[in-house]
Amino acid sequence: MKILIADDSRVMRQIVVRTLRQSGFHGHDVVEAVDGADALAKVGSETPDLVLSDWNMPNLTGIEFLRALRAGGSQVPFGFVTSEGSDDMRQVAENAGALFVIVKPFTPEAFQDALTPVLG
Amino acid sequence: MSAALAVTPLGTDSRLMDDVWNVVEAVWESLLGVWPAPAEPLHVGEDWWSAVVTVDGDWRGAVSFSCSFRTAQHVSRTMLDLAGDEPDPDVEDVEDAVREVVNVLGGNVKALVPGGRSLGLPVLECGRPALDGDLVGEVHVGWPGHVAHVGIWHTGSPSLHLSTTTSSK
Repeated sequence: MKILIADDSRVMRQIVVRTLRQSGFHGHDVVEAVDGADALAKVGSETPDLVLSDWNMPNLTGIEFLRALRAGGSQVPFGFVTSEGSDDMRQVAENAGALFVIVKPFTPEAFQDALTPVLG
Repeated sequence: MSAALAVTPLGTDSRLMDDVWNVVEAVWESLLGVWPAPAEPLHVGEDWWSAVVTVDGDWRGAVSFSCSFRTAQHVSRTMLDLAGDEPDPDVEDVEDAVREVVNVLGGNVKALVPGGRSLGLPVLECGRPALDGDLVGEVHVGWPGHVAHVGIWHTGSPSLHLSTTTSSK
């Protein structure tokens, strides 16, 4: 499967990739995006099977990115990996069509719990 | 650590700084692979790096993370999982790592303060953060060979604010 990781921090994208491996999700293709606008473009060009997105990004925030995807008809499975995990934000994310919210700082177990239903 | 901040006008002592310390422990364990300990009170040096992220909502403020360049390099090496014989990361990656630490701290602090609604994008400064507000809480963080300072700043909102009597551990 192909996984799109959207985060404006290169260091955090590296950590997400590493945590995917530590969680046992090996062998997946990873595509990186540097912000929400880049991610929106890459959903079109790369057709990922799963999107893992930060919330707080320049140009297009994660929630704006998700809403743009759904408004455009894309139903790609989408989860947030974000430092903001309040109940209100989880509700906003769910209402917009996100499958899960993984809160930074995270553990490999959090990735396993959230991603196993999607990646198997 | 003991509770350091009182939340007014809610009228009861908050365990906010205890919660902030719990956040620090979780962030250090997850991002740096270490369990931090309270350090002796630190002075943020003029040559230190400070990353700041704002929190907006009913309570308006900011979270800062300050450390020396040597510690910033260590933080970035650890976050990038570089081996000992690999060269130091580019300065852009060092800046990115320091900003990301405060971003994660800020997102979690936002969830602790009353009515926190939005988080800004982290910015990097040299020396003590230049914020138009009051430092209302701080923790001094130590781990083997390194120390860092985490500050909680109140920058606005007349109706609901955090006041402090002590700080840190």
